[in-house]
Amino acid sequence: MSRLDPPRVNRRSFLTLASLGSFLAAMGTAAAGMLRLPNPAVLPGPVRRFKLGPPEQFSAGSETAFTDQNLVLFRDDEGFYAISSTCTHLGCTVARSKDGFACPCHGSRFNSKGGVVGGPAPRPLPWLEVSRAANGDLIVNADNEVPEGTRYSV
Amino acid sequence: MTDPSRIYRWLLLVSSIVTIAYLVGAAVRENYLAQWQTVQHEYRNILREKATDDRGRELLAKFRVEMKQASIPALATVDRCVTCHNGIDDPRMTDVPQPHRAHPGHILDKHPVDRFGCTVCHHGQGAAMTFNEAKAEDVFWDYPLLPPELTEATCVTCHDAEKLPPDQIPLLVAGMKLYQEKSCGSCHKLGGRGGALGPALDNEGAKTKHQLIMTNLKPPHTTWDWQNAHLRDPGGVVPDSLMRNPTVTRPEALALTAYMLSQWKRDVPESYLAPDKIEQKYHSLHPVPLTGEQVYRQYCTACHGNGAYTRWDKKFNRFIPAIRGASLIAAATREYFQTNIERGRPGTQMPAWGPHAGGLLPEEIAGVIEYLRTGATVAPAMVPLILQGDSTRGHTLFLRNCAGCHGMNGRSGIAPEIGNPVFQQAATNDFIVRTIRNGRVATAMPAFQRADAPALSDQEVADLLAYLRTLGEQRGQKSMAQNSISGTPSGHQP
Repeated sequence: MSRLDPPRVNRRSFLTLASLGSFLAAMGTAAAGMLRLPNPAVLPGPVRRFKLGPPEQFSAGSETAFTDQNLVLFRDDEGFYAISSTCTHLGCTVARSKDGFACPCHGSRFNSKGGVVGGPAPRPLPWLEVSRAANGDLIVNADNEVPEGTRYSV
Repeated sequence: MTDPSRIYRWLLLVSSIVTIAYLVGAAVRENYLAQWQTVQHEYRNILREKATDDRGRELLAKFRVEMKQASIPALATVDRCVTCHNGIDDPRMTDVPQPHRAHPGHILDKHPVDRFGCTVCHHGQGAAMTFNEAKAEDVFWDYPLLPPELTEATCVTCHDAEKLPPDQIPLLVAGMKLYQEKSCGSCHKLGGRGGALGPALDNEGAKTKHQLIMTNLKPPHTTWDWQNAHLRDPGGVVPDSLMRNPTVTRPEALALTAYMLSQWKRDVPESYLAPDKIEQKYHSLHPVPLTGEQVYRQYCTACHGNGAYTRWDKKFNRFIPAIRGASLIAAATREYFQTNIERGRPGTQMPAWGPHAGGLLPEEIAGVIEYLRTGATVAPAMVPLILQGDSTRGHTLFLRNCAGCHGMNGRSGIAPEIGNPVFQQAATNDFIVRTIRNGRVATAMPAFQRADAPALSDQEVADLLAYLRTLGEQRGQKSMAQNSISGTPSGHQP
């Protein structure tokens, strides 16, 4: 019997391979389960889905600042959009200025669409997802960003 | 020849396959077969059926099968009830079965789930993911899910019950009224006002099942079951309870249960309180005085009844005096009543009702005295006793005529205590002599100088009076005597 011959799988070595293989598979399954642990289905933090009331209470062309929720809700002819008022630099609350937003902490400036005009802010102010609840109220989900220019029409 | 390691290979193979089967089973169970996932798949089908307009289609498109929760740091609560109660704020979901149905009434309009959560009103375990765990009627959760009819008890956490629409809280309204009608305040304190025989009820609703005696109740043991059963038969739930059975019907017991559950000074952030609740807190510091009749009904009738007749009390094992009896109000002065009401009768079941004890205001005590003395006539002039009494002869007379009811030294008998310090200070000689001579109509106290059959002579009455007056001193003398022999080892005293 040459050493180059393919090894013969007899019953005994099949048993060895099967037991080792199933052991590794069991370890793999357990590891996959453990890898899921740091990724919980739900976090205990506060809900960042804000109900802002019925859309009729916001007239076209209006803008409404929600200070508790740190966002500004706009309504123009195309629909609703919400811009976060948390500065993308270090998280201060930006104030409305003449032509956009201004951060009081380090002087970041944003235009009225949230784009960075000046200062240390690395990113434009995010646009937040607007939708409606079952009872018709507007909902802004501060955890979901949408591309600039997205409108929600009622 | 068999390989000795063969058995270990088989063992590894079998145990690994069992482990894989178990892990895969657990993964499927957790990710695809959980109760809440079934519920959410059902709900998606309902959404699909109801997606007839744009908004319905949008809601269907946005629906994800995932864990949902209302997390409110201000109330320290994380409520996952909305994971199964998906349609809670969807006005279209009125005709679907639970748990998909919309919340009844318009409660959520003013109490959005995002701000209040669920468990602040309904109790139960908010973080649970199955209904049984959310109900939490086992031993590990202090405040299990309230039955729907009793949920109104938690409205008072933030509202003044008297300012809420009565049709929204029918049980609480009935319970508040019953509490006064049944004179619960005679024995229980609420807001610092009431008797001292039973426990104060200010935080009764905050009690957990572990604070209540459950041995005589059928499981599941809940505080409302305890309240309900206890209100119908106190002695059957708490052995040796002094509380007599209140005459309440089943609906009345339920109403009082709701009222008891509402007694919970729960700490919620000020921003959650309704303006009337803040007003209520202010008003509770400045109570409006009740009339004499109201005071009598709320704080006296549980023991004294209508007050016209004496009553034998089985639980107290003594007579309860007729405090509105004709003979008493004819002989007793206003000061006599005032001293007795303000200071009570220490050592008996009669508590003190002064502002720092029972919490009655001075004008309320004046009012109730006026009420007690309604119909009192000016006592007719009496032949005064000018004889000097002898207390030793008086003692013999007392043992023969009085001790059977009033106790050997005027204490611990079945009739009112003559040796009680408050009685000794409140009662005038004139009052005592009148009572001995004329007795008390409609009570067990006989007249000892009836015109047709005088049992005692004037001299004997004077002797008795002399003895009775020593009863007030005896306690003081005795304690002084005990002080003087404090060096004597105890157990060797004669």
